[in-house]
Amino acid sequence: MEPLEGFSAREAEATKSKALVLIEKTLETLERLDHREFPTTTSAVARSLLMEVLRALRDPAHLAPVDPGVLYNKTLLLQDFVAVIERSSTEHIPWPLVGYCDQIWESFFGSDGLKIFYSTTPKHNYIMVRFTRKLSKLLEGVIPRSLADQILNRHPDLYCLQLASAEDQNLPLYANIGHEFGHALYERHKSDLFEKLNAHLKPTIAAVSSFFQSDSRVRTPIEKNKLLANTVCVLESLGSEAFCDLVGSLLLGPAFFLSLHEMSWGQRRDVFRISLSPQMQDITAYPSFSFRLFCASQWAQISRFCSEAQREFASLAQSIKTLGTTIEKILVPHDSDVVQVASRHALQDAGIIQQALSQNLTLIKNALLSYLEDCAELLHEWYQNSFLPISTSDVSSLLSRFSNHILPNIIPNLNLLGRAADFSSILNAAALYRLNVLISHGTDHETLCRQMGITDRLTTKALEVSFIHKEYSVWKNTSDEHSE
Amino acid sequence: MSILNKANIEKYMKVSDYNKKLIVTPLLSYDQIGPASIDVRLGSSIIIPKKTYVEKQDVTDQSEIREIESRLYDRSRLKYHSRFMLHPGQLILGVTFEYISLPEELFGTIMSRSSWGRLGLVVATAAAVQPGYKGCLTLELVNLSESPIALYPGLPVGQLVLQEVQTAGAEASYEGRYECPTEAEVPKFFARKSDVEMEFWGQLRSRP
Repeated sequence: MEPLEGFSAREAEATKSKALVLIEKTLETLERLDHREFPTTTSAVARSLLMEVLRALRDPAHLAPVDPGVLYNKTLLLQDFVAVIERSSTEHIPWPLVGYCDQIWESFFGSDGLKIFYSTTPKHNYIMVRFTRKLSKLLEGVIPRSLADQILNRHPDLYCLQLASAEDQNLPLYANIGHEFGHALYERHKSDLFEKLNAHLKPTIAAVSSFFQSDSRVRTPIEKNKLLANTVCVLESLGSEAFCDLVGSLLLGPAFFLSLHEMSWGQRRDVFRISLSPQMQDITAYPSFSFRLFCASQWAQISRFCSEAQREFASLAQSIKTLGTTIEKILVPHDSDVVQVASRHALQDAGIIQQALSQNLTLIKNALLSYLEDCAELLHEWYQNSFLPISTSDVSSLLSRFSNHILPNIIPNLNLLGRAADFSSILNAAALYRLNVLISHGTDHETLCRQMGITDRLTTKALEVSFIHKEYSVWKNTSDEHSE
Repeated sequence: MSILNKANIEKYMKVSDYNKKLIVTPLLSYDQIGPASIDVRLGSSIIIPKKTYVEKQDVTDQSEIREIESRLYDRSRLKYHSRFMLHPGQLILGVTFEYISLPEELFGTIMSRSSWGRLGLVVATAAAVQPGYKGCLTLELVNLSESPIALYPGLPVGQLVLQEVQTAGAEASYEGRYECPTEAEVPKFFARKSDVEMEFWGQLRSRP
C-alpha cells in the first residue's frame, strides 16, 4: 500500500478517473433513454450529439493535455444537457403542440436549416436555448477545437425550446412560445436588427453619454466608456425582448397579449428590470409589463379584434361577448414606469446606469416603438406567410363550441366535415374562454375547478385532433389526386 | 325508437342548435358514416392495467379503490405513428379519437367493427352511451385471439350505432361520473350517489 502522502501526488489521477467514471455513467444514462418517448426525432439528434461528445471526452488521445479538475467540472456541467434530453419526453410534452411548433419553425427556418427539439424546465418560464452553441462553449479547453467542430458539424445546429413544466396544464400560456421563437429569429437576423435598433437609439445613447460625462461619480474616460458599453448592452437586450414580443403578437394575436397579461399577475407591472453582469453577454433587461402589454396590444391588433368581436360574438353568451369586446381595456398606463438596475458586482455602476436610463426612459420607449415599426415591416417582408391575422370569426365559432362543452377543433362550414381549426385560433378561443371561466366562477371553487378542467381538456384534445385532421386532409387530397 | 340510418345520422348532424345536434368530431371523411353507424377511431391516450402490485380489485371498499388506482394503472400517450402491441388476453383502456355529443333524443351503442372482431379484438364491453353524453368514449380493448394485435392511434376499430329514445316526460339526461372526458378514464366507483350502496354490499362480507 502507498503511504497517505503519496496520494496527494496522485490526486490529479484520481480526479481524472472520477471524471471518466462519470462520463461512462452519463453515456449509459443517454443510451437507456427510449427514443420512442421523444416528442420528435430531433431529440434523438441531440442525444446522438451529446453521446459523440462524451465518447470524445473519454478517448485517452484527447484527454492527455486536459486538467483533470476542468474535465470533471465540465462533465458535471454536461449533466444539465443530459437532463434537458431526459425531460424531452411525450410524458411531459403534448406532442401535437410540438407538431404545431415544428410547423411554425419550418415556416421560419425551412425543413433543412436549423433544427429544434423540445423539453421542459422546472422554472416558471419558457426558455429558448441554443443547444449546440452552448455545448460548443462548454467544450472549450477540454477537447481540441478542431475535434469539437468536427463533431458539432456532423449534426444540425440545434435549438431547444423548454416549456414551463409547472404550467403543463395551463395551455393558453403556450402563446408565450411565440416570444421564444422570436429569440431564434433575432439570432438569425441579429446584424440587420441591431443596425435598425442603433439607428433609433442614437439620440438616447447621446443623451446617456452626456449624462455620464456630467456625473461626478464617473471619474475617467475608461469608466465612462465601460458604463456606456454596459448601457448599450442593456438597450440591445431591451430591444431583443421587445422584438420577441412583436413576433409573439404577430404570430398569436390576442392569445399572446392575454398570456403576457397573465404572466404579469401578481408582479409589479411598472418596472423595467435590468440585471448587470461581469460578462456583457449575460446582461438581461426586460421592459416593464405595462410597456410590453402596450406594444403587444398594438401588434396583436387588439382594437381591431375588439371591434370585430362586437359583430362576430353577437350570438355568444353575454359574459364572453363583453370580455371579447373589452380586452383592450385591460391595458395599464405605462407613463409612470420606473427603471431598476441590479448588480451583484458593481453596485455603483448599477446606480449610475439606473439614473441615466430613468432620465431618458421616454426617449428609450419612443426609440423602441419606432424600432418595432421597422421590425414588423422586415418580418412581413422576410416571412410573408408566417404571420396571418387572427380570424375573429373563427375564434367566435370555437368559443361557441367551448360554451357548449363541444370540442373546439373545427370551424363548421357547409359540409359535415368542417374545416380544421388552426393553432392560433384554438389558443385564442381557449385564452378568452379560460379568462371568462376565471372571472365568472371566482368564488364558487367547485364549479371553477370543474370548468377549468373541462377547458383544459377540450383545448388539449382540440390541438391534438385538429393537427391530425390537417395532416389527414393533406394526405387525402394528395391520394385523391394520384387516384385521378 | 329505431336505429338511425345514414340519412338520419346526417340529419341530426346538420342541426345547428348544439343542444339538439349530434356531434362526432373530427369527422375526417364522409366514408366514416356507414348505412347505420359511424366509424370511430382509436385515440392516443391509453391506460395499461398493471398486475404487479395489486392483490385484487374489490369495488365495495371506497378507500381501497382510490388508493390502488395509481398502483393499478399506467397512463400513456401514444404518438400517431407508434405501434402498440395488444397481447392475447390483455385488456387495456383506450379512447376514441372522436369527441361525441349526443342530444337528449339519442342513445348510442359502441361496438367492434366486424373485421377487427374477426381478428379477435373487442373494443367495448360497456357499450352504452347515454343521451346527453359529451366527451370521448373510453374503449375497453381486449385481444381474444392467439396472437398479438398491432394497434395504432387513428385506426377505425369501432362503430357507434345510434337510436332514438322517447323524450316525452324524460326527467334527466346524462349526469354521470365522466364530465367531458377526452382521455381514457379509469373506473370511477363512488363518484355517483347511487354507488354508495356498494358500501352496503361490502359490509355484508363481515357477517358470518
